[in-house]
Amino acid sequence: MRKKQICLIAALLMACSTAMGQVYSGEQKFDGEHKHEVSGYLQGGQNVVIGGFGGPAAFYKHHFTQRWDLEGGLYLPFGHNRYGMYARGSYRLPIRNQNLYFMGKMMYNRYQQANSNEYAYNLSVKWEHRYVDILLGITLVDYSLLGSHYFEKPAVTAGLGVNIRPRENRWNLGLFIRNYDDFYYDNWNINWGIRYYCTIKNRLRNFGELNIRPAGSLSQLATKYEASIKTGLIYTW
Amino acid sequence: MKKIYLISIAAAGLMLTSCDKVSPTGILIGNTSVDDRVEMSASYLLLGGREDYVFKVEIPDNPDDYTFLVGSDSHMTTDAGRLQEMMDIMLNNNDLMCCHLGDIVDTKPEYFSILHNVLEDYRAKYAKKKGYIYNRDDGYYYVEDDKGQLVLLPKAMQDLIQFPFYVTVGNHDITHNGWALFKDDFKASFFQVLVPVNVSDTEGKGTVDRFIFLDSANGSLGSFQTDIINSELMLGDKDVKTRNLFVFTHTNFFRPQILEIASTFCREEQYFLLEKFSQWKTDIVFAGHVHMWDERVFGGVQHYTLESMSERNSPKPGDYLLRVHVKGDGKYEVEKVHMDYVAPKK
Repeated sequence: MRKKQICLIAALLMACSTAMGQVYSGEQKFDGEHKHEVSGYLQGGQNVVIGGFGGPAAFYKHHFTQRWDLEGGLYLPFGHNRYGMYARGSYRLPIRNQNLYFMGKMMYNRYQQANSNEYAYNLSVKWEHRYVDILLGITLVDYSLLGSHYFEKPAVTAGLGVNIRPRENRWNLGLFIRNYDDFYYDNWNINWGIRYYCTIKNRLRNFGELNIRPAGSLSQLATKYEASIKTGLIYTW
Repeated sequence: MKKIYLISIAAAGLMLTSCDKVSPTGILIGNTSVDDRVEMSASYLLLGGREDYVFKVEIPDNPDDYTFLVGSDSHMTTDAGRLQEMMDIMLNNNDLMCCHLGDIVDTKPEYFSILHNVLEDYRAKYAKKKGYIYNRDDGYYYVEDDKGQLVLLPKAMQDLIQFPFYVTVGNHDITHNGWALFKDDFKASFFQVLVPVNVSDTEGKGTVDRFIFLDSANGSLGSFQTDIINSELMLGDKDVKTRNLFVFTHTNFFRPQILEIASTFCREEQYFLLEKFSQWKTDIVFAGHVHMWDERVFGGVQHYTLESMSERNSPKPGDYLLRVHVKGDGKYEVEKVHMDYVAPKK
């Protein structure tokens, strides 16, 4: 009888730890065990205003607990036509095999060509299903140039992503549509594209995106504005 | 549960495709390109011998003192009341020109035929006011000689007495392939109008007030237009002095309300253009699109965003137009102009 009880408890613990592993496998990066994530990508693209652009971005995320994390990002393209940095904190609320993230982000961007400084403040909630993720939030943008500044009215921030494999899979391919990227928040201009990741080793993953950023989406006249590709690595420990 | 999803998707799809004013695919890929339109406009203007993308030179009756009228987003359907009122105000007040900030019609191509008739009426009225006769059949202007015979005016004169109604193209004008129809009446989407203000200047080539009309219907100027405005060509011959510079664009820069479900410029382009207007020493930038009034000075440039003058968006009489009074010394005053037209109850 005693042996049966021990076996049952052991089985329950094993089942729980397996379930925990699945639950914690979120945000396409976090496996629930590591504390540190360092990542970086190279981006190359073209837009209407500055023509060709490209350069590196680097990020570090620290998981204080399995719920709380803080991330910093830096974007420094070649040619210095623009650079940006941000800090983002998030709280993860697991619900069965899904996650809810409550996120706050502060970002600074310098658009060198127009001598403009931009500060963005975003609050978002992201729901993460095994195949689908949806983000809804609100963004405030304050920009200054030419000795004037303008604090924009709050703008809705929204994003939808779908994957062909569940998020805990070693590789994935998906589509996204949203009105933001790592280093910008737009008003009602939608960008969309393809994303992927594949695990190279347990702690090392390759990821990337093809990002089409038209202008005039919600004027029903989307036109070529910007297209870019990014590919990078994420390492965890 | 699956059934509910499928029914919801089908209902949304049906709503989007059955409404002929909505272009669902335009959210991802629009059916008209700003580069194409600007290249066509440039070809038209350059073929006509008009350098520097100047559409037409208007010589005012009184070059030292004149007014022009600005209105936006008439979204005309079958009721042309507000548009006709704008043109009547212009004729009655002897405004030098009317500048419309786009979305002159509301998406459906058939409204362009109504617009064309309205424009033809006012071409005739304007010509009559100037002492000429407009022939709707051939589109030429005539003058009556002593014997009562109609004499065709020479080409140069024909250009000068065109009805001065200038329109920036808006997204609703061309969503459903309306560009061909828009081009029929307005010829170009990117152009300038020069008003000579010092014709006695013999040393240089004179001084002008410059009116720049940008094609921003897509929420971006596109590569071709951006290249042009980045070039020195944009502000014309260096020997021609620009006294006042007014810019007209459909897409707005400042968002007066939170839920503006219409695209404005992408971030980088927004800052680029604000900086460009300041660099040009622009006096006033007029914008529409958002259907809400906003005025502010940014980077030393006065910006006005106009309300919609459409009888459906703004059913009550109100101050939907702006009049700019440019004085002999180059200073100007801006006033709001009242519109009275109310659509008849159905």
